Amino acid sequence: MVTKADLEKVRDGVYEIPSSKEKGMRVSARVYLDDESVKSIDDGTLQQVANVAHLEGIQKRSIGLPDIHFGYGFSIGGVAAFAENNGVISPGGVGFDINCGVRLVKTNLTKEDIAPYMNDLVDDLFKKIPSGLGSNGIKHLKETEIDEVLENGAKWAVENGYGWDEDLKYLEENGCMDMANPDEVSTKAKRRGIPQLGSLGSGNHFLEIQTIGDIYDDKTAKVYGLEKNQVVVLIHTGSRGCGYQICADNLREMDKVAKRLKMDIPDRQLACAPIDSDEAQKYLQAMACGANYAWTNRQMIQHWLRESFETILKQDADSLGMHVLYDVAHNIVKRERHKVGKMNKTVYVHRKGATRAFGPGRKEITQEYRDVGQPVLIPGTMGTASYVLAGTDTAMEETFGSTAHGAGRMLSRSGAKREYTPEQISEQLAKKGIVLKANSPSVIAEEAPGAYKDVDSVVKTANDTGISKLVAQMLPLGVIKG
Amino acid sequence: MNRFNYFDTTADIGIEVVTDSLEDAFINSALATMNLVTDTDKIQNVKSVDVKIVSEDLYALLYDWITEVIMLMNCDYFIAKDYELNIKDEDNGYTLSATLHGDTYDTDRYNYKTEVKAITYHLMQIDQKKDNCHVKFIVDI
Repeated sequence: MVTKADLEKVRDGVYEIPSSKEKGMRVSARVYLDDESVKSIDDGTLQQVANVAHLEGIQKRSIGLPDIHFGYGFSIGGVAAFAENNGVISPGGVGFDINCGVRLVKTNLTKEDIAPYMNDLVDDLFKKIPSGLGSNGIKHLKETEIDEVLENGAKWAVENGYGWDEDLKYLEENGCMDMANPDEVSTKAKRRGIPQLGSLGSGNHFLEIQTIGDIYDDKTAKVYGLEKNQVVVLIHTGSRGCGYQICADNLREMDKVAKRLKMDIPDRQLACAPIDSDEAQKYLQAMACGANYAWTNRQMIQHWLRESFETILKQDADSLGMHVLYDVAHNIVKRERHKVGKMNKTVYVHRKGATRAFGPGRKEITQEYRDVGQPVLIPGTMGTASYVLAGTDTAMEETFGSTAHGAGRMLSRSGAKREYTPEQISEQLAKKGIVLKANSPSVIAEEAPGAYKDVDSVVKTANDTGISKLVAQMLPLGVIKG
Repeated sequence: MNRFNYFDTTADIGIEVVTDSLEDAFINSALATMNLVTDTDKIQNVKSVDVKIVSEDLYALLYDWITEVIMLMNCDYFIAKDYELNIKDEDNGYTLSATLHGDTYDTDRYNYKTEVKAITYHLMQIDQKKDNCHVKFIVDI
């Protein structure tokens, strides 16, 4: 067992549990936390970061980011990279909502321009973009089409009229992972995916109209095309039932592998398989399908977003400057090259509640942004700010090019409902001038800003420890919740 | 006594049932899962669905059963209040046969609370004694 007392300070905001503290740890466990979070972090979460350090083939260190909290097996806000030659793949290191992620869409409007239209826009978006049970995607896929979505991702959406060719350039992986193989996706997952494509879902997913508040880095903001008071829209959703089912199917299979190979795993939810095993390869191919589904989902929602703006503002989306800034995945495993010691190695980086934060120069970054590092999008919660950051060299050195992904839940859902009423929260937001539309009143209370760790402190820690760099703040104007 | 209870976890929600038999524990587990999405006491019985599942052990059976319940809600919009359910312990594992009685979900007639993503193995517990069965599990929401 490890506890908080085992943490050793590396530098301000960075702490490590050395591998010598627990038998079986192959590498150290490192967390990025400010002084306040070091005091409040629970031993269970630290134990999870340490547990991941036990897994075969793990490289450098097991990592907990500034928004880390307790998850299943792997903590949420965690990163682990495994060597291609002797490492493992774990569905629990990605999570249920494969490629849950965020897309930021720009406009050339200011908050003053949009103010008179806000109520109508939020109403129209709420009507157009489905969420919740029984209100499925507008486009009901044919059984044969689901395989094309799983294989081709956002490209399928653009080819079918949902968006512009240029959109794909600004998506991580251009919105499609090549290793996707729909044959490895169960009928169950496909059946769950068919009716839900193009829907927001519930829980912490949302669509938010925002305005740029503070700018922290003028040069990078200019490269990204952001300026003060500009209106932007953030879309936060993932792979819906399709991804959840892919994860559930594979966790069950991996559980059997771990037993068969008598792997020494400290927690059943860390179920994993050697990278070269059939089970791992099948999971990777299925996970890529889930990721492609999520990029398609966000692509379609963005299309209806443009349509809503066109209808309400009576201008076309092109002249409104509705270009994609970027789209990032928060739950994913990727095959990447990273420096480990003095060598460059191919590793499988698991990011669970973590954002890729590649620093300047990496070829994976869209050309326009390559000199300043990739855009990192960190959403807040209802009524709080969200942030754009940039990837850094420090992230490449220390965290396999990764940083935090959001606020991180602190209160349980029922705890939040005991503390807050939906009316209270709606009123609070209204006072700040934020328009809110939600499907379920209980979700409003469950998702109360007070139920989450303060996102401002999360991005500050990410910035101060150097694993990403603050660029701009976004303030909410209108929110649509599932 | 309640047919099921919910308990807190940070990110998700736990379900706990204590019953006289394994069958009732599986029934109440399904009911508790559906009740997260909509109030089950309001569901009308207008149609029935049959389910058959074979799994290698009891934990896997619970995992597969709740997965099926989530599938029924998400793909067929089927919600159920009453259940007939039988579990057999056979050579190749456990077989569950069930008939569910309920209705098609419709936003005009039924409320919507939250979405259930999946069941997890995390902290899953099935304690079966002679006249008593205690089941605990967590669903990701």
